[in-house]
Amino acid sequence: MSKGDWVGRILFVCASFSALVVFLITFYLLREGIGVLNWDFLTGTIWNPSLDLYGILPTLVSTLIVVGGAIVIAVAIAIPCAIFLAEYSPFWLRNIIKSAVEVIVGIPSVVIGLFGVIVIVPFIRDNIGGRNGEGILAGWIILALMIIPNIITISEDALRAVPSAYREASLALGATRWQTMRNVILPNASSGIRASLILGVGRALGETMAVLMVIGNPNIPFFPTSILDQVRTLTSTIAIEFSYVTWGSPHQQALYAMGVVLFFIIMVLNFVATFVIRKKVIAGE
Amino acid sequence: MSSNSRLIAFIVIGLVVGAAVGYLSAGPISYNQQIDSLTKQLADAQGATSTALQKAQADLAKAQADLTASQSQIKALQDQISALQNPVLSGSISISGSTTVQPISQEAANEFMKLHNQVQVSVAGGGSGAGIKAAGSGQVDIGESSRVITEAEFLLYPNLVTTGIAKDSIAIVINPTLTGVTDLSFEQVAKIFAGEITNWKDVGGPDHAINLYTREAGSGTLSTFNEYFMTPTTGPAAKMWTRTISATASVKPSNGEMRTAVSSDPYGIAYISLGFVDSSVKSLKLAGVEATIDNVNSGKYPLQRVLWVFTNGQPSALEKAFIDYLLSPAGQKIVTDLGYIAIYS
Repeated sequence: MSKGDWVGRILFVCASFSALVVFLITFYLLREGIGVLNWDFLTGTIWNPSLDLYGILPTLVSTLIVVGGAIVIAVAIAIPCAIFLAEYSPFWLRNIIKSAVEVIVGIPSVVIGLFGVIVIVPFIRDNIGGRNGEGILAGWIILALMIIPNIITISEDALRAVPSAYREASLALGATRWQTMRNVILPNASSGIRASLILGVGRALGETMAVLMVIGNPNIPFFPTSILDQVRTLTSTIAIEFSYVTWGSPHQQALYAMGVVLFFIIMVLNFVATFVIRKKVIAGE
Repeated sequence: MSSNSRLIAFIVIGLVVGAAVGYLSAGPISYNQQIDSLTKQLADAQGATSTALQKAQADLAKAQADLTASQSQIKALQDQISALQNPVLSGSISISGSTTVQPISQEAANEFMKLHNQVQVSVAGGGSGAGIKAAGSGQVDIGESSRVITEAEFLLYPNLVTTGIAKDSIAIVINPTLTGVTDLSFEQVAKIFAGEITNWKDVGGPDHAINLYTREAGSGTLSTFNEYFMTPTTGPAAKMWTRTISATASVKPSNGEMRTAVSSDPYGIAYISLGFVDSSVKSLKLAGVEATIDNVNSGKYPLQRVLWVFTNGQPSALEKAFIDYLLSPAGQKIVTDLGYIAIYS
């Protein structure tokens, strides 16, 4: 047997191992949560475990609102920053900003949550309003803080990966830097930028600790009517309630079902991302 | 006289004297014999005695040697017994559960590890429900809780062994900057937390909405609070009303976070363990009675609860040593230093 075969088989085992892990997690989650997962669960509006009511619609809607708003804020700040870093910034400034961004990426999310509790929540309470500053707005700011560095680094890499021949050709034809950026480089890098957005959304959806600290967590979740309302997200509900559920009870199954819903949302997101990127690759190049 | 007659006279006298002497010394001779025989007897007896004495001395020495041997055996056995009774402790204990009991067990763990430096004790929080479940399912060695086990939990974990280690109370706390509110009745507290009273001005404070904070559903502090205020089964408000905590109350998963929330929110109100009250919050009087340890002990402050630790089955030697340490004067001093109440007061 030649050496190439042997190495190939080892790599195949490693790859299938990671696929196996994902499969096992999916299977375990589904097995634990499937008992409660039905239409009433998904559209029910009251989550009250002590009365055996498990309806996740307010929590689901709140999660989507919190994550969606965070993404909008993050994109509004991060993409221009990435464009600046890739195209316009002088070399020394780019180094400084990139180093700072990479440090923020490494900060543990619970530390960002502490920052939120100590700085952002009192600021919102004193200057903007709301009951005690905790709520959707605080969640947006915290999640945006966490996603922005991710989006900046990946988008900037995507922008830089566009072959310089395109840029040089465009400039040679007399286009300004901004015209080059808008019409040549951004469309070519858009698949990479979309990939960074998907990653950012994935991180925001899964973020537990920081969100738990600033989002308010009302006793019984309800549909938010303003950005200063307190809400619960899927992750914060699981984190708060999981430690004391009795084994095998419907409450525990409901929490697992929440995990399944989260998992499902992220799977759909990844599928859309792959589809979008592949479409761009086929259509663009 | 002639020389012959003189000679004969001498001989006769000599014979007579000799006979007399002989006869007289026969007594001493027999005395001597007696003396000799007695002396001999004495010597024999002495010899026998000294032999016996020597034998006895030898026996004594042997007996003493036996005694010494037995004594060292006894000492060895005593050492073994005390080694079994006070083993050099080693191993590890994991503790989790009520955030009310957590400061006590954390401090006790530090001191215990200093006393027995081959032991590792780790303490976590999670709430009373989590602690009971963790201890009952074997995830941790010792669980702690600030409430008694419910029937449902006892059915699930029938082997839990309980030990009370301290006493505690609950204080209603507000932000120190909130003026005008110092005293609430049981019914006012219940109405505030049920959302029936929503503005501070209704209880003497400024005109602003009341921000409620509550604990997660597995908390022992929450269930004690419910027992005394919301659906009272004990205390001065027993069986007088049934209310539920408002749906908009913000859930904080530990005593520490409740205290932090109130200390940073000027219009917040929360309930925390008495041992957690410090200068960052203000505790309210309940029906005119200040929330102090003396008032709790005397019964004037009508809220008292016991803090428990659990083991699954009888505690092992190491666990028992730790629980005994908690109950010892050193452990109870830790309890009172932290602001709780000693178990035997």
